[in-house]
Amino acid sequence: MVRYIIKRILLLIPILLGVSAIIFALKTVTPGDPARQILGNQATEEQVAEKREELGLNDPVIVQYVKYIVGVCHGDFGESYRTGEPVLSEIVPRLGTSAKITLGAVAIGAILGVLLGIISALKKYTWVDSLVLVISMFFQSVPEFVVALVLIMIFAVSLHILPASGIDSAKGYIMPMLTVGLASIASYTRITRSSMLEVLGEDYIRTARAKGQTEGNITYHHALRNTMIPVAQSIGTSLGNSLGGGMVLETVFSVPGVGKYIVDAITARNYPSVLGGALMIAIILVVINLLVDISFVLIDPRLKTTIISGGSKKTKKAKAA
Amino acid sequence: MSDKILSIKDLVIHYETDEEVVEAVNNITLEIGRGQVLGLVGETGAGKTTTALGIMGLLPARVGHVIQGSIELEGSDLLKMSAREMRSIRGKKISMIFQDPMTALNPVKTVGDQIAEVVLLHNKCSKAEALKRAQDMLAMVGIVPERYKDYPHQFSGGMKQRIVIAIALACEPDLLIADEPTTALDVTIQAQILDMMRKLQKEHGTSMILITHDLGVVAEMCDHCAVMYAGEIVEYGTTEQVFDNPKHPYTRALYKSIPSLDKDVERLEVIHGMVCDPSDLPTYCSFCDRCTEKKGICAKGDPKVVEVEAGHTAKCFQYAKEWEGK
Repeated sequence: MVRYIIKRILLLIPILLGVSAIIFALKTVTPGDPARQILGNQATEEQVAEKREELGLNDPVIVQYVKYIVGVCHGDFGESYRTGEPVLSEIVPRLGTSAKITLGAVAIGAILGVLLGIISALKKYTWVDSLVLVISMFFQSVPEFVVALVLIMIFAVSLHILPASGIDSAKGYIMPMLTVGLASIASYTRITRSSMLEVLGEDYIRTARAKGQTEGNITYHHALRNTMIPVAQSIGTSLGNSLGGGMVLETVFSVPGVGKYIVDAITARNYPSVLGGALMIAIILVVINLLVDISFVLIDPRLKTTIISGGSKKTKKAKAA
Repeated sequence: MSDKILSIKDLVIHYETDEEVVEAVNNITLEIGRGQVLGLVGETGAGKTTTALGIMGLLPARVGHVIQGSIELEGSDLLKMSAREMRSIRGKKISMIFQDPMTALNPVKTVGDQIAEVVLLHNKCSKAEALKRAQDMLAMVGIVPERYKDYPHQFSGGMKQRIVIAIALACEPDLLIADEPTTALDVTIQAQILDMMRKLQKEHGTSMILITHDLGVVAEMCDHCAVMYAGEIVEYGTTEQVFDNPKHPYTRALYKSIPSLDKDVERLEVIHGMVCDPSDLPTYCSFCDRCTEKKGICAKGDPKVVEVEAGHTAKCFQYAKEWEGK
């Protein structure tokens, strides 16, 4: 197991090299001079040239890239063009903020979604099932910013119980979490429902009934764990997605998160910030994927043998299916 | 009556969907003596498994319905029992072994836990005592008890079926229903499993219904034999009676289809035609269309069950008064 984890962490290296190389390449082909951007239109040509030299922009791209990678290896992600602060110290608190919202949102979505999924599987083809489907589809089809605005209308404008924007208090996190969470309910509900229905049709459920086990215990002890395998996969994916993809939401609620940070950096051609943000998100995604795969082993003992013996990811997934 | 563990009377089971009604079991009457083994033989779709699920009360929800009849276990009708009462009978008084051991065990629970589960359900004991019992059961079916901590995927098919049998026997049931317990296993393992089942059945005096389409298995294991065709029992008797002196044309045709080592034949005997569609059963004898011994009367009505000799019945016009001359 430990060998497997080390192997997966080593996989980070090519991924990070790839991500940084792509962004570096984009930087060279996009028009506009970051030095001019920083100094403004009033600056003289000499000042700009001096700045270019200072930022190392006159070096060949390869040299710039190698310098950057060496820096990253020492924990130096460069300095933000805009503020002059180290990128790392700007990103980490923002990442924390985004992570809190993401975790809260995934928790809301997964808990409600799995519950609703189980209910509609157990009550399949009844009005309860249809109602659950309608509710979850509703939250999935309405765009997040609309849900966000409606929530602001209700909780901030009418009821005055939650702040409309900002995260000065813990209350500020509630609405962003709800918005993202509600939108993801539908996918969890559907995955859980279909997975649960499939599992309930398995022979080992009939074996459990033949033992005289109660329906409640069959659902909880026999079906649930087998149902969770595809759900865990989906939780991993949406953790990654909402962590880096929260720009709209972070803008609506004026939350200083990492998504908004990257978008702002892109518009300002603040390359060190873009690069740093992208690399951090890549690292986190790989780590989340690793955690999800480890959770598979905890859920499904059949995978332990394949993982420890170093089976490839494909065969693992095939067996899980 | 006390020598009978189970008696089924006039049982009719239908599967009802929006499109059609499948008449899976039609008016069967059966008795199983205490400590006896009854073989239930027939081709796929004859209603063998449906009968078994009917006894267990495990017919598919919403679709499977018992239309009429009674299933009495030691005098009390299982069909009149509440869900709670049925749960206390399943696993304790009646156990079932399913066809495919590969899928019958929960992949995410250890085999020890799966055996202990049924023990805990029906006995007042601690988890540790139940696990001890699980290990004893594993030893009984010939698996090293220390493997109770292993998961199903770590066992071979034959061993999984042993575990399924261990689960079924863990609470020493009065009646064991084995639904084609060896069909999914390869031939050498089949013999091992059957030997073991027969030994355990004898030791514990368990009554057993053995569902199979293998006549060899019936000859080896069973005291009585019921031949099912299209949801009906067409012939019933002791295994000797049915094997030495088959009375129903279907039973005779089944014997003919068994390959023989003595005779050198190009092709095996087959029963021509198909089993009739259970959603559209004829009003006359259901075997008539495939029968080589039929007469005009066979297509006119449904034959009655006739006792051809003591304890040996057949559902065929040949043994009715009307047969002569028509």
